[in-house]
Amino acid sequence: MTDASDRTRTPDPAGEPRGELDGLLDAWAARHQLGTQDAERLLAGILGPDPATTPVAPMAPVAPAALPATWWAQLSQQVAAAVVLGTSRPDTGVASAA
Amino acid sequence: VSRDDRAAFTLLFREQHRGVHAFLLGRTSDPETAHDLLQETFLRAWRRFDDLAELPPQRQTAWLYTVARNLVVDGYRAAATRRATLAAVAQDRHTQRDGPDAADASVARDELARVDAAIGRLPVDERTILTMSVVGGLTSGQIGDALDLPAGTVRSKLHQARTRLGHALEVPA
Repeated sequence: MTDASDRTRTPDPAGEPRGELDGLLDAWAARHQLGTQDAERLLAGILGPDPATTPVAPMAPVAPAALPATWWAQLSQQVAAAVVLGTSRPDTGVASAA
Repeated sequence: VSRDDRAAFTLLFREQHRGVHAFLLGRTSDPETAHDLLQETFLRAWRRFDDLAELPPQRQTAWLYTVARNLVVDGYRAAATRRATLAAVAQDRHTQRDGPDAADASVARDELARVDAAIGRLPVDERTILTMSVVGGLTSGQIGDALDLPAGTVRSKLHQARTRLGHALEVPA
Protein backbone atom coordinates (compact mmCIF):
# COMPACT_ATOMS: atom_id res chain seq x y z
CA MET A 1 0.00 0.00 0.00
CA THR A 2 2.90 2.33 0.61
CA ASP A 3 5.20 1.07 -2.09
CA ALA A 4 7.38 4.14 -2.65
CA SER A 5 8.05 3.22 -6.27
CA ASP A 6 4.37 3.45 -7.06
CA ARG A 7 3.31 6.46 -5.08
CA THR A 8 1.00 8.68 -7.02
CA ARG A 9 2.04 11.77 -5.12
CA THR A 10 5.05 13.73 -6.19
CA PRO A 11 7.99 11.43 -5.60
CA ASP A 12 10.60 12.54 -3.16
CA PRO A 13 13.75 10.94 -4.55
CA ALA A 14 16.96 11.46 -2.65
CA GLY A 15 15.35 13.78 -0.13
CA GLU A 16 14.47 16.37 -2.74
CA PRO A 17 12.18 18.97 -1.14
CA ARG A 18 8.55 18.49 -1.98
CA GLY A 19 6.68 21.24 -3.75
CA GLU A 20 4.34 23.80 -2.31
CA LEU A 21 1.41 22.01 -3.87
CA ASP A 22 2.30 18.85 -1.93
CA GLY A 23 2.30 20.84 1.28
CA LEU A 24 -1.15 22.19 0.53
CA LEU A 25 -2.42 18.76 -0.48
CA ASP A 26 -1.02 17.18 2.68
CA ALA A 27 -2.81 19.77 4.82
CA TRP A 28 -5.99 19.27 2.84
CA ALA A 29 -5.73 15.48 3.15
CA ALA A 30 -5.11 15.65 6.90
CA ARG A 31 -8.29 17.66 7.24
CA HIS A 32 -10.34 15.06 5.41
CA GLN A 33 -8.82 11.76 6.47
CA LEU A 34 -10.99 9.52 8.57
CA GLY A 35 -9.37 9.16 12.00
CA THR A 36 -8.68 5.74 13.44
CA GLN A 37 -11.17 6.28 16.26
CA ASP A 38 -13.89 7.39 13.86
CA ALA A 39 -13.23 4.37 11.68
CA GLU A 40 -13.34 1.96 14.62
CA ARG A 41 -16.56 3.56 15.85
CA LEU A 42 -18.07 3.17 12.43
CA LEU A 43 -16.97 -0.48 12.28
CA ALA A 44 -18.45 -1.16 15.71
CA GLY A 45 -21.73 0.42 14.60
CA ILE A 46 -21.87 -1.82 11.56
CA LEU A 47 -21.02 -5.04 13.37
CA GLY A 48 -23.08 -4.41 16.49
CA PRO A 49 -22.19 -6.07 19.78
CA ASP A 50 -20.34 -9.36 19.58
CA PRO A 51 -22.72 -11.98 21.02
CA ALA A 52 -19.79 -14.17 21.96
CA THR A 53 -18.21 -11.53 24.19
CA THR A 54 -21.24 -9.58 25.37
CA PRO A 55 -21.70 -10.51 29.03
CA VAL A 56 -25.11 -11.82 29.95
CA ALA A 57 -26.84 -9.60 32.49
CA PRO A 58 -26.83 -11.29 35.90
CA MET A 59 -30.25 -12.55 36.93
CA ALA A 60 -31.90 -11.14 40.00
CA PRO A 61 -32.60 -13.70 42.75
CA VAL A 62 -36.11 -15.09 42.52
CA ALA A 63 -38.20 -15.91 45.59
CA PRO A 64 -39.33 -19.56 45.66
CA ALA A 65 -42.99 -18.53 45.72
CA ALA A 66 -42.49 -16.54 42.53
CA LEU A 67 -40.91 -19.35 40.56
CA PRO A 68 -42.80 -19.94 37.33
CA ALA A 69 -44.76 -23.11 36.89
CA THR A 70 -43.07 -25.65 34.73
CA TRP A 71 -44.56 -28.28 32.50
CA TRP A 72 -43.08 -31.09 34.51
CA ALA A 73 -44.52 -29.77 37.77
CA GLN A 74 -47.95 -29.58 36.21
CA LEU A 75 -47.61 -33.07 34.75
CA SER A 76 -46.48 -34.42 38.09
CA GLN A 77 -49.58 -32.98 39.75
CA GLN A 78 -51.83 -34.49 37.08
CA VAL A 79 -50.23 -37.91 37.46
CA ALA A 80 -50.57 -37.76 41.23
CA ALA A 81 -54.26 -36.80 40.91
CA ALA A 82 -54.91 -39.68 38.49
CA VAL A 83 -53.27 -42.15 40.83
CA VAL A 84 -55.35 -40.91 43.74
CA LEU A 85 -58.53 -41.13 41.66
CA GLY A 86 -57.67 -44.61 40.39
CA THR A 87 -56.96 -46.02 43.81
CA SER A 88 -59.99 -44.41 45.48
CA ARG A 89 -62.45 -46.19 43.17
CA PRO A 90 -62.25 -49.99 43.43
CA ASP A 91 -62.99 -51.78 40.18
CA THR A 92 -66.30 -53.56 40.76
CA GLY A 93 -66.62 -54.82 37.22
CA VAL A 94 -69.90 -52.97 36.90
CA ALA A 95 -70.11 -50.02 34.58
CA SER A 96 -71.23 -46.85 36.21
CA ALA A 97 -74.75 -45.84 35.34
CA ALA A 98 -73.63 -42.27 35.29
CA VAL B 1 -22.74 -14.85 12.44
CA SER B 2 -19.55 -16.56 13.47
CA ARG B 3 -16.58 -14.97 15.17
CA ASP B 4 -14.56 -15.87 12.08
CA ASP B 5 -16.93 -13.78 9.96
CA ARG B 6 -16.56 -10.82 12.28
CA ALA B 7 -12.80 -11.13 12.21
CA ALA B 8 -12.69 -11.45 8.42
CA PHE B 9 -15.01 -8.50 7.96
CA THR B 10 -12.98 -6.40 10.40
CA LEU B 11 -9.88 -7.16 8.34
CA LEU B 12 -11.65 -6.23 5.11
CA PHE B 13 -12.90 -2.97 6.65
CA ARG B 14 -9.48 -2.00 7.98
CA GLU B 15 -7.81 -2.73 4.66
CA GLN B 16 -10.35 -1.00 2.47
CA HIS B 17 -12.12 1.78 4.34
CA ARG B 18 -9.52 4.49 3.62
CA GLY B 19 -9.65 3.89 -0.11
CA VAL B 20 -13.43 3.65 -0.26
CA HIS B 21 -13.79 6.76 1.90
CA ALA B 22 -11.40 8.71 -0.34
CA PHE B 23 -13.27 7.50 -3.41
CA LEU B 24 -16.57 8.70 -1.94
CA LEU B 25 -15.06 11.99 -0.88
CA GLY B 26 -13.72 12.51 -4.39
CA ARG B 27 -17.04 11.67 -5.97
CA THR B 28 -19.23 13.72 -3.65
CA SER B 29 -16.92 16.56 -2.51
CA ASP B 30 -18.82 16.41 0.75
CA PRO B 31 -17.18 14.93 3.87
CA GLU B 32 -20.44 14.25 5.66
CA THR B 33 -22.01 12.47 2.72
CA ALA B 34 -18.80 10.54 2.13
CA HIS B 35 -18.92 9.34 5.74
CA ASP B 36 -22.59 8.35 5.47
CA LEU B 37 -22.00 6.48 2.22
CA LEU B 38 -18.94 4.75 3.64
CA GLN B 39 -21.10 3.44 6.45
CA GLU B 40 -23.80 2.36 4.02
CA THR B 41 -21.30 0.63 1.74
CA PHE B 42 -19.83 -1.46 4.54
CA LEU B 43 -23.23 -2.08 6.08
CA ARG B 44 -24.29 -3.66 2.79
CA ALA B 45 -21.02 -5.58 2.69
CA TRP B 46 -21.70 -6.95 6.17
CA ARG B 47 -25.25 -7.97 5.27
CA ARG B 48 -23.93 -9.79 2.21
CA PHE B 49 -20.78 -11.07 3.84
CA ASP B 50 -21.70 -14.72 3.41
CA ASP B 51 -21.43 -14.22 -0.36
CA LEU B 52 -18.69 -11.61 -0.27
CA ALA B 53 -16.38 -13.76 1.84
CA GLU B 54 -16.39 -16.38 -0.90
CA LEU B 55 -14.87 -13.97 -3.43
CA PRO B 56 -11.14 -13.52 -3.99
CA PRO B 57 -9.72 -10.27 -2.52
CA GLN B 58 -9.60 -8.38 -5.82
CA ARG B 59 -13.27 -9.10 -6.49
CA GLN B 60 -14.17 -8.10 -2.95
CA THR B 61 -12.50 -4.75 -3.67
CA ALA B 62 -14.37 -4.43 -6.95
CA TRP B 63 -17.64 -5.27 -5.18
CA LEU B 64 -17.10 -2.57 -2.56
CA TYR B 65 -16.33 0.11 -5.14
CA THR B 66 -19.30 -0.90 -7.28
CA VAL B 67 -21.61 -0.53 -4.29
CA ALA B 68 -20.01 2.79 -3.36
CA ARG B 69 -20.32 4.06 -6.93
CA ASN B 70 -23.97 2.99 -7.13
CA LEU B 71 -24.76 4.73 -3.86
CA VAL B 72 -23.29 7.95 -5.21
CA VAL B 73 -25.25 7.62 -8.43
CA ASP B 74 -28.47 6.75 -6.58
CA GLY B 75 -29.33 10.29 -5.74
CA TYR B 76 -26.77 11.08 -3.10
CA ARG B 77 -24.87 13.47 -5.34
CA ALA B 78 -27.68 15.99 -5.33
CA ALA B 79 -27.91 15.89 -1.56
CA ALA B 80 -24.15 16.34 -1.32
CA THR B 81 -24.22 19.37 -3.56
CA ARG B 82 -26.95 20.92 -1.45
CA ARG B 83 -25.03 20.28 1.73
CA ALA B 84 -21.76 21.53 0.27
CA THR B 85 -23.49 24.75 -0.72
CA LEU B 86 -24.93 25.16 2.76
CA ALA B 87 -21.52 24.44 4.29
CA ALA B 88 -19.90 27.05 2.04
CA VAL B 89 -22.49 29.62 3.07
CA ALA B 90 -21.97 28.75 6.74
CA GLN B 91 -18.20 28.99 6.25
CA ASP B 92 -18.53 32.46 4.73
CA ARG B 93 -20.63 33.64 7.66
CA HIS B 94 -18.18 32.12 10.13
CA THR B 95 -15.23 33.81 8.44
CA GLN B 96 -17.01 37.15 8.46
CA ARG B 97 -17.61 36.90 12.21
CA ASP B 98 -13.94 36.25 13.06
CA GLY B 99 -12.07 39.09 14.77
CA PRO B 100 -8.40 40.04 14.33
CA ASP B 101 -7.26 37.52 16.98
CA ALA B 102 -8.27 34.74 14.69
CA ALA B 103 -6.23 36.13 11.79
CA ASP B 104 -3.68 33.30 11.60
CA ALA B 105 -6.30 30.60 11.85
CA SER B 106 -8.34 32.44 9.30
CA VAL B 107 -5.44 32.57 6.84
CA ALA B 108 -4.87 28.83 7.19
CA ARG B 109 -8.58 28.18 6.84
CA ASP B 110 -8.79 30.40 3.79
CA GLU B 111 -5.87 28.58 2.25
CA LEU B 112 -7.54 25.21 2.80
CA ALA B 113 -10.83 26.60 1.56
CA ARG B 114 -9.04 27.65 -1.65
CA VAL B 115 -7.63 24.12 -2.02
CA ASP B 116 -11.08 22.70 -1.30
CA ALA B 117 -12.67 24.91 -3.92
CA ALA B 118 -9.96 24.21 -6.51
CA ILE B 119 -10.23 20.46 -5.97
CA GLY B 120 -14.01 20.76 -6.15
CA ARG B 121 -13.70 22.31 -9.62
CA LEU B 122 -11.59 19.46 -11.01
CA PRO B 123 -13.27 17.02 -13.39
CA VAL B 124 -14.82 14.28 -11.26
CA ASP B 125 -12.51 11.49 -12.46
CA GLU B 126 -9.39 13.54 -11.79
CA ARG B 127 -10.72 14.68 -8.43
CA THR B 128 -11.55 11.12 -7.41
CA ILE B 129 -8.10 9.84 -8.36
CA LEU B 130 -6.37 12.73 -6.63
CA THR B 131 -8.42 12.20 -3.48
CA MET B 132 -7.77 8.47 -3.45
CA SER B 133 -4.08 9.26 -3.72
CA VAL B 134 -3.68 12.01 -1.15
CA VAL B 135 -6.48 11.21 1.31
CA GLY B 136 -6.64 7.43 0.85
CA GLY B 137 -2.90 6.98 0.42
CA LEU B 138 -3.44 4.50 -2.40
CA THR B 139 -0.87 3.79 -5.09
CA SER B 140 -1.67 4.21 -8.77
CA GLY B 141 -1.91 0.41 -9.07
CA GLN B 142 -4.41 0.20 -6.22
CA ILE B 143 -6.46 3.07 -7.63
CA GLY B 144 -6.39 1.38 -11.02
CA ASP B 145 -7.63 -1.89 -9.50
CA ALA B 146 -10.42 -0.10 -7.69
CA LEU B 147 -11.56 1.94 -10.68
CA ASP B 148 -10.78 -0.66 -13.33
CA LEU B 149 -8.23 1.58 -15.04
CA PRO B 150 -4.65 0.93 -16.11
CA ALA B 151 -2.12 2.32 -13.65
CA GLY B 152 -0.63 4.46 -16.44
CA THR B 153 -4.01 6.13 -16.99
CA VAL B 154 -4.25 6.81 -13.27
CA ARG B 155 -0.82 8.44 -13.26
CA SER B 156 -1.69 10.52 -16.30
CA LYS B 157 -4.95 11.77 -14.77
CA LEU B 158 -3.19 12.49 -11.51
CA HIS B 159 -0.64 14.56 -13.38
CA GLN B 160 -3.43 16.48 -15.13
CA ALA B 161 -5.16 17.07 -11.81
CA ARG B 162 -1.99 18.41 -10.22
CA THR B 163 -1.32 20.67 -13.19
CA ARG B 164 -4.83 22.12 -13.03
CA LEU B 165 -4.55 22.58 -9.27
CA GLY B 166 -1.18 24.25 -9.61
CA HIS B 167 -2.66 26.76 -12.06
CA ALA B 168 -5.73 27.35 -9.91
CA LEU B 169 -3.71 27.88 -6.73
CA GLU B 170 -0.87 29.65 -8.51
CA VAL B 171 1.77 27.31 -7.14
CA PRO B 172 4.15 25.04 -9.08
CA ALA B 173 2.67 21.59 -9.63
